[in-house]
Amino acid sequence: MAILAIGASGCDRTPTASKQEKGDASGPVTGGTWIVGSIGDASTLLPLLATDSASQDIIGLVFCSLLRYGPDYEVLGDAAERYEILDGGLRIRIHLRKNVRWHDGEPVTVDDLVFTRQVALDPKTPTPYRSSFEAISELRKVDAYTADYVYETTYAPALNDLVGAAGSILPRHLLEGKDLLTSPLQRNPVGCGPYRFRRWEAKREIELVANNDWHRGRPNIDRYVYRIIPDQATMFLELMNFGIDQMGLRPQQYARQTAAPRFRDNFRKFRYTGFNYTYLGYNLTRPLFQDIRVRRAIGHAIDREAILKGVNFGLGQVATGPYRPGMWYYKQVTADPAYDPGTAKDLLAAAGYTDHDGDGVIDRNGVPFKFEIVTNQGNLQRKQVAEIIQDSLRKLGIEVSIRIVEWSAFLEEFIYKKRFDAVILGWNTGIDPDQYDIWHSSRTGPREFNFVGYRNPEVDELLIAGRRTFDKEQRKAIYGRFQDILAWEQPYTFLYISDSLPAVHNRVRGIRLAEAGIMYNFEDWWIPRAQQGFHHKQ
Amino acid sequence: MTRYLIARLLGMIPMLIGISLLSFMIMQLAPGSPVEQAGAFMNAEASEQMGQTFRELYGLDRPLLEQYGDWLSRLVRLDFGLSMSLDRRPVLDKIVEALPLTVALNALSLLLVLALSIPIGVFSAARQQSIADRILTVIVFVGFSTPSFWLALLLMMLFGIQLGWLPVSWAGMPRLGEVSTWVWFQEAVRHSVLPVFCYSFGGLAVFSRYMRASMRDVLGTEFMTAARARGWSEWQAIWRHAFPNALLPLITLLGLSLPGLIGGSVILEQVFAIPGMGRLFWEAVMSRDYTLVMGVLTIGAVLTLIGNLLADIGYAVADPRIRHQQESTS
Repeated sequence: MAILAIGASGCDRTPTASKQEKGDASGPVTGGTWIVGSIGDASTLLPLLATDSASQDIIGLVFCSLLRYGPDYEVLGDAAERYEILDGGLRIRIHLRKNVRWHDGEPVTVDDLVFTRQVALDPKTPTPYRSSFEAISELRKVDAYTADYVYETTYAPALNDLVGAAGSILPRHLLEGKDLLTSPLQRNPVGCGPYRFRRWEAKREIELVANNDWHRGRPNIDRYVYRIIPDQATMFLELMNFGIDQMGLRPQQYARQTAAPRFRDNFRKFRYTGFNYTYLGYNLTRPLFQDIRVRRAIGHAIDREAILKGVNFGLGQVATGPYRPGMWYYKQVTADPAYDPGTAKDLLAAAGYTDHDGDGVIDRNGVPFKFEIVTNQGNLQRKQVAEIIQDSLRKLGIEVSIRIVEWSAFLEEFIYKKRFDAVILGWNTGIDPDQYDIWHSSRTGPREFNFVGYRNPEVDELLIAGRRTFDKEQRKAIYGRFQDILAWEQPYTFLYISDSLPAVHNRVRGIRLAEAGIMYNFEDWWIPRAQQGFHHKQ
Repeated sequence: MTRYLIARLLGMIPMLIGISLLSFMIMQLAPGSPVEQAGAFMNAEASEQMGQTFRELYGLDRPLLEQYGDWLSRLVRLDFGLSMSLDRRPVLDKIVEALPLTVALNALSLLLVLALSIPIGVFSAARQQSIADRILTVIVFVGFSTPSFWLALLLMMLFGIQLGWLPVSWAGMPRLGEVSTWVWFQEAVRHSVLPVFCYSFGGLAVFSRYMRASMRDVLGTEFMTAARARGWSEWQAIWRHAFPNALLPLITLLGLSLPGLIGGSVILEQVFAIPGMGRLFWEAVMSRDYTLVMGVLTIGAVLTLIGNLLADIGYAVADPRIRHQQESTS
């Protein structure tokens, strides 16, 4: 896989860490407990049903998947030993490892794969991942350990799907003929991953223990505890008090609260580009926003560096498109509107907007330039972004009002019904560059993701063409063109990408910061024997 | 008295139905539904079909009144139904999990509030406008107006991190079975100190001001003058004669506090990582978990009505004037 640049925009800044690692001549040992703090509790521990990140964190350790990503997002085998792309991408042959076992000792076979797909396609199963299974037109069992995934047309995101949802494996011998939704496995899962489930106390903690028989070798750390602490400030105090070993820091905590000796002596903090971006999206069905010049003018008027600094303590990057810098398909676009209020003013004038009546608000044909930005409640950053944008646009004579609405009401009343002028929202981006659901003109219906109503025939073609080839160079060119068009047409003003900011106790070894962050090799982390009895001063 | 009680209890039934019907309708009127929360939106892989599956699963595709009738008929059999969230656990299980902790912490704080605010109120009334009264007034109002989460975080930093005397939050609380009962009890006490203090600090003002006002009224009555005239010392007169009379309004206040026992403080439970009723209810509302919301509301409504009844009974028991009035009317 071609990696253009390391997207990790910073790295471990604690000088003591490497010195300590050198002192551990013994090499990796097993044992110890690792406690991770989480804001939210899991909701279900069965793949296919889980949608929240807490559930997925645990499922990722308890279950195995067909394929997985390596440190640089290269596709590697997990339950699958290897895969072959055949018939020009119409068939993907999966060879399962023969030593993969469920935690109750039963082998993982192709029957489990077939069963998982059946469950996912069953209309009674409420899974958001059905479409990834529907893309597979047939799943052919060749023998107990070999399967062919057959596609009607070449479908490049298929491999990504087989790492993610479509690569989930459910235990057929435990679930066949049972109702998934009332299955005790939801709260007491039997998986095939590096950790076995031990117990789950609702809203308190989830405990996992190392799986000695794991097919990729027993993980080093014995116990993994997922502790639910709903308040970020409390979580940080628990970290400082050694009640937990790892948490994701907020930008403010990373920038302001980690200078104390107690933190520097005991913890390492990491920083790498996240998989999310925040944007200002325009309702393109409103006449006001149908003129590219108007959208570009707003883009030129917004100082994204200042926003990043102001709301995110500079911990992130300015976004110029929907992709994460560092991914092989990311393109440094040139059409992105740079901060330049002068150009913004000229563009608005060219579009007919000047202050004809001298009331301080620009207007055209007697209609003043006013619009409303809507965003959801409970996200302080988005509110602050809205305020900064409001202020920047006021200087150009554009009157912006802000409305903050509770999430469910926000979706129901504003997004689904397309009753908004502009929104501030964020997307999590995937590993595959496919963006069909967000930008294709067929995806503008109610409850679909192209709710800004973006329509561009060339983009439609590109999005389909990008799905039709596995050739990385071709896809890179296709999605490069796509990024150029978005940067020029500005259906969104892409604002910024936040960094992921984990903090971990420095007694753990084996962390290798890579493109994929730090958690991808958790099985290899280890705790020196002398520090295994560490837990816990309470 | 018995007839009065029966009449009151029967009167609660239509009241409860009214309350639940109103809550049910208001909740459904709020935009959004449990379906959105199940990840049917803002997740690039979700589909309209999945939303439909959920609506059928939760029974949200049927007419509103039918849903309510269904809910009510189950409630009569004390079946609170299944939570409208992915885990589909019984609502009662979720409530039973959260309830003991919340009730215990609330009861402890209520006791602490009473133990402190009654003497404060009595003293302030007896020594009105003295320096001590003013200092106490300032302290209880500072308590009333201090943001509880801020106080909590300061105390956590001081006693948890700086001094290391107390646990930061409830998160590290060991389970019974993991440690001996004795150790568990000690831990429970240590873990409760900061939350109980924070819960109580804000409540001091209400009770002590009530106590002070009611004591002042009593102190001005003629029987107090008579007591003093008989040569009782001031404090003797206060404790023997004024105090029992001044306590009467507190009975009402206590009755009204009963439903508060099961409603945890959302903010403090959040800050202290306490898995209690406040968080349960808050999260249920935010995720539009209709059945869970209705379960908590119903229990709260029942307790409120019972609290009112108990307050009335307590009043009657404590105050002969009311008792006689009731007996002559019923």
